Amino acid sequence: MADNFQQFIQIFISEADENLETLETHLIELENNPEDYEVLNAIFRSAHTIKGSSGLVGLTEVQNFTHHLEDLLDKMRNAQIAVEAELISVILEGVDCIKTMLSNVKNGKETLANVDTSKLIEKIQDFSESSEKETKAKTDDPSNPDKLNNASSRESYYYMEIRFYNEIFSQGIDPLMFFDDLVNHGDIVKVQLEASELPLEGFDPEKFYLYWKLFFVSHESSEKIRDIFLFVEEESTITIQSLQRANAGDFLIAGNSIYDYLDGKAIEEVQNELEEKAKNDVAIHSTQNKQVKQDSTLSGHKEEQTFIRVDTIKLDKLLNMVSELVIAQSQISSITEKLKGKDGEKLQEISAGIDKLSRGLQEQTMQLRMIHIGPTFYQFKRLVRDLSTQNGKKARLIIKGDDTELDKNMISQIGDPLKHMIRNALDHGLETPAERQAKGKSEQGSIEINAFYQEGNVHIEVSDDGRGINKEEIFQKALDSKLISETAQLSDNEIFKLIFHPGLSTATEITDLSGRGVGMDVVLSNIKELNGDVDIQTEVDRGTRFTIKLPLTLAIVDGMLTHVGEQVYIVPIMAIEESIRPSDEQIRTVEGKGEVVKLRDEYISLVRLHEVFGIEDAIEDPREALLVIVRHSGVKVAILVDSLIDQQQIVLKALGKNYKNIRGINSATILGDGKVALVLDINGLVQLAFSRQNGEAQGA
Amino acid sequence: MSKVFIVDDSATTRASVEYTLTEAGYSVDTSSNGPEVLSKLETSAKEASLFILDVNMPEMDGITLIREIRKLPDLKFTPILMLTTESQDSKKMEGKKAGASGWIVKPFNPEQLSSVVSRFVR
Repeated sequence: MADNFQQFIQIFISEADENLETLETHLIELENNPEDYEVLNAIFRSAHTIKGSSGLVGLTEVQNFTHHLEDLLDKMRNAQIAVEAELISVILEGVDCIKTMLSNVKNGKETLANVDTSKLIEKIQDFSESSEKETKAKTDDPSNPDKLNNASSRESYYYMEIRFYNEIFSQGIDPLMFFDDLVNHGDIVKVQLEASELPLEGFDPEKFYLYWKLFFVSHESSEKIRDIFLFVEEESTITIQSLQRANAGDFLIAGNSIYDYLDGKAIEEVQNELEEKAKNDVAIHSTQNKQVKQDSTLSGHKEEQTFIRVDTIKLDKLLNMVSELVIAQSQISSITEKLKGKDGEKLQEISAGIDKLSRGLQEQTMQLRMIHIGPTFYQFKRLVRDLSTQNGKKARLIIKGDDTELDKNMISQIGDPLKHMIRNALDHGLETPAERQAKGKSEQGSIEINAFYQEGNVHIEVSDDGRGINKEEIFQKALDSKLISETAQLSDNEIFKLIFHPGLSTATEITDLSGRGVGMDVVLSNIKELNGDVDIQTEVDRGTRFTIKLPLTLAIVDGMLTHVGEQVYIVPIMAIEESIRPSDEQIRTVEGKGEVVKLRDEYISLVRLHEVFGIEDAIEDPREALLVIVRHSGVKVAILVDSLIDQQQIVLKALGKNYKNIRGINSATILGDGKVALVLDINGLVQLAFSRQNGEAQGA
Repeated sequence: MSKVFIVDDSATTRASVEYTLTEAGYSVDTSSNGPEVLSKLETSAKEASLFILDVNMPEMDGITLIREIRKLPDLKFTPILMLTTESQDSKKMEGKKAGASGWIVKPFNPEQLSSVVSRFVR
């Protein structure tokens, strides 16, 4: 049972995370459109859900705290408090506070381990009470049941199904009356109206066909609650199920959330007729009763796709196995191709069929891992808001392409680089309002993030309409710090990309924000780790656009197979500029730079793979071998290999723990013939070449 | 203003109910027996938002009165509350079958009465 409990706590947390994200995004939206009642309602619903389900899993601290927020939001909803920036800030603080509590729970700490909610609650209440004077008359009303409902740890949860009899109207009874009574005894967490029993034919308007399912929290015993229905109980079917803690969890597990549970039941019961009948769905008119909320999305909800949550580890295992299947299949193909005769042909045919299937399987498996980038983008709204307030700039974030799908792992790794790029854009890209005004721009700058597919890649753009990057300035800096030689022929893009080089910051002053020790070099290397690349377009005073290009998946790359002696090494195609066989004059040794190859007036450091990896039977004379020119962060290196073999898609396999830190090697793969080959880490090789130049020790 | 119709043979009950509900802001009409109500059914009683009637009354008992009221199309769905004493469970069920919407147990205090009435008169 303890495991079970843990499990549903986790389910609760992931549900709450989503709700908090919605809450945050909507809050910022609300700040921009204070009049948007829909958004305000959505905010309230998120808070309400967090409160309700946290109680259900026994996290009373979260429940009590959220209750205060909900209270405040309710007053905003009733237009008792006006939406203003300071208020939004307090609520955002509250959101942060809940996040901290949840992360404490996640990490097995005390919920309130490093949180002091009391001050924040005071602030929230200050706002709440600021409205109280105007509405004092209302709250003084002794019949106001609100006070009765307020939190106490002794609450019980109930799942109820309320089915009145058809003839209830002719008894002079309004079924909704019972909801008034219910609310006097507790709080309706969630209510769903079921119209599945509305007759398609022979509908009698004087009869009652609807019923309700609801979650109810109350101090009262189930007998007391049943008493509410005393007069109609005999003819009606009133189910009141008390939910114990573990029980409540089972509900969550069964359907992920209360909503799923409610919907799941509905689907099970009404099946195909549902769509027909949903048209006749009658909404509860509960204007007098704000606690009974009829979620207008509920009826539409049923038609949405259904989802199940799957542990990502399972997906990883699946992909791994499928990838191996593809490899095994290509081994079979290469053997069957050599077979002759009728049986051989037949086998080839079958093999081709399996080949297609296994690749299809691989593609589908990869699809499973794809998720929307939207949530990653939305979190930056908060970042932009906070940072621009902090450094006195005015900025808005425009989000596009939020429904673009990326590999799950990629999404989790792209967040940090993106965050830094946005931070950078705010910090260095956008000017202060005064500067912008002087330039004739609008005071408010904009930062846009966009994601889309192009040429088999995912592109993510981060652009700003700020001051742009000064090419000459960067070039000069790079010269000063000896990153490049005066004779270097660099394209504009290559010059701009120098800003990704460690130790090259163009900021004239280090601000609080950029002085965090994470530079643009880390951004680039993060992206490179994802087998991606970055392009920069910029125009002075018009703005800058960073375009991140990412492969659709992390697990598969295009590789060039090369021979070094008997060994096969794979160079990622992304990194390759060209391959040459050098002439005598091209190879030189330059003081302080070691062996270089001169290529079109450019000196490129030469890395002998056989030396790096200690291979003895390799060709040592570059004039008889091949140089593969690769590039990383705008820096080129020539890699000496014996020969090129072939270009093919390879499935990357992580190296075991012991091999993880070998410089120059990134991962391994299994070739079609079953042999293992190593994949080169270009970044590592470039650094190797540089450290050699600086006189450091060579080698792995 | 919502109109509540009170039928009880006891003047004390009539007076106390009338007082409480008038205070609570309802318009109140009273009758002391069933036939009197029936005579008003086509006129003032027709607009009632709620009937409160005693189960035990001379001349015409409350259950019969409920049946009579329910016969009128205009009052088909109007809530009707019975005034009963705790010992009259069988009467409750009988009244319910006749079309009553609920009951109020005598004796009751003003708060209870107002709260029940407010639930039925929305």
